[in-house]
Amino acid sequence: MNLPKLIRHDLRCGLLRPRCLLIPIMAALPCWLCHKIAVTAGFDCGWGGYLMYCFMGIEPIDILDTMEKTQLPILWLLLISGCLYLNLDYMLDDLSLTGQQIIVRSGNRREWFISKCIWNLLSCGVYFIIVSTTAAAFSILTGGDLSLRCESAALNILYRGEVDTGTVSSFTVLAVSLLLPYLTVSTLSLLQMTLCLVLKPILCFLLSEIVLLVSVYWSSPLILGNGAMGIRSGLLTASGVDPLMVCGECVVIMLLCAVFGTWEFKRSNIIGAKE
Amino acid sequence: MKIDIINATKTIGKATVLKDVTLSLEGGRIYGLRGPNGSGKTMLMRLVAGLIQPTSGEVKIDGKRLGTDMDFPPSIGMLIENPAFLPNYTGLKNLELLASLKNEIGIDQIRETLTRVGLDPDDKRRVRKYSLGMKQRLGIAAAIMEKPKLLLLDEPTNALDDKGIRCVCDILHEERKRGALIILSCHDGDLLRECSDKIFKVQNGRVERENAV
Repeated sequence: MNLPKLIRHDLRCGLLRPRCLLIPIMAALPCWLCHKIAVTAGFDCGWGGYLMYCFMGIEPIDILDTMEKTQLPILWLLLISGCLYLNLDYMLDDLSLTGQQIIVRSGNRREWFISKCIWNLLSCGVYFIIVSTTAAAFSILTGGDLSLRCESAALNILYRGEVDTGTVSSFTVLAVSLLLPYLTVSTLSLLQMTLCLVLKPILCFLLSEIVLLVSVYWSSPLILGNGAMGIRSGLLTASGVDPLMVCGECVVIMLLCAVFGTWEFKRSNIIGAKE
Repeated sequence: MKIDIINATKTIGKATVLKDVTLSLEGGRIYGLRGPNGSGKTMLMRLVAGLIQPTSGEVKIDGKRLGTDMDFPPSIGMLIENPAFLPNYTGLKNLELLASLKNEIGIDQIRETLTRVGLDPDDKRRVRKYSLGMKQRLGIAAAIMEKPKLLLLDEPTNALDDKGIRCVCDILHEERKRGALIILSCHDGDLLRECSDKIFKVQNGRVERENAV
């Protein structure tokens, strides 16, 4: 059983890469905009507020209303796509470099792919830790508190009056702005990695982007991106997306990816990405 | 160790890279592969390593079918194309990390292997600072350090100086004496003739026996 050793290799080589330096920059942008809104509206924004704004997304769009057709949650897309982009090519890169020596020594293709699935989950976790650390740093720098609680008045301004609840508890903020987006992005990332076994990485990335774009215009819990939008969460609005449904959907897709990936990788050619 | 490649054909996309290859290889021998670039030498090595699976036909290692009974040969060392290592670690650390997967050898054997290929085990430089020749030597060390029963060496003398080529030749003879089955691909005809027990000519994916040495 070489799985722990394979995971250790992936953590060593694929977890903290130079491109991770981009994450704080991507996270700082929505935090800075959130700070500007807070200053204009005259309320104090803390860590929870910044996180809620980062993963706000966009309110459900009525695609029949032509005035709304061009709306896009650019910052949300940037933040979610950032994680997908960072995780895009590690598996194939590894397979064309030291990974060949590793997989042959491990003697087991299935374990190697499972290790990559676990790496994928951990890598997304690191992404969200860096994003939330950036939000915490922003909160400290702007004099906000380091609590995840978010006052209803502040949240209603940030979420443009779309929230039905009163003061939002730390747990709700944690679920809406970290756990659900993490689960959704991890699932998309795993799906993207699995598809890389049969398609070119750039096509897989484009497919992920299409899923995100479809989710912007179609607020069904079955479209993955909806789970990562705080403003559409059933924890904040009565008509929102059911978080349990999002969790269930993500778990099912992850399991399907793991099963399909191990089956496909078992018969895949390992000849290096360039070939 | 005994390897039987039976009517193996490999098609990738529209290209047939190996055509109806049938070979029987035994331990304690060196098999040389000769042929122009793109003829299928590296693909044949990948087939034996389990990195690719035949579209038709089969590869058996000691009677067990590769791809169904096992994913990869149980005891294998390989240097296929360019050696790849973690650039921010020393050569010794890289080998330690690779060896930790099987846990068959300790630090002393790794150091001894590095010395054997002409590298200093105490060299504190990271691999990214290594020259091409040093990386090649490290690749050979990675292939032989666990004393594998099957050794696949694709162009092992690339970027090596005369002393390095001599060193590779000595290593090949020692590994053969130990009983390893060695498949060697090389453009250097002299080296191939000097080291190989049998030479196969690979052309357009077909493999033919060239001569007895």
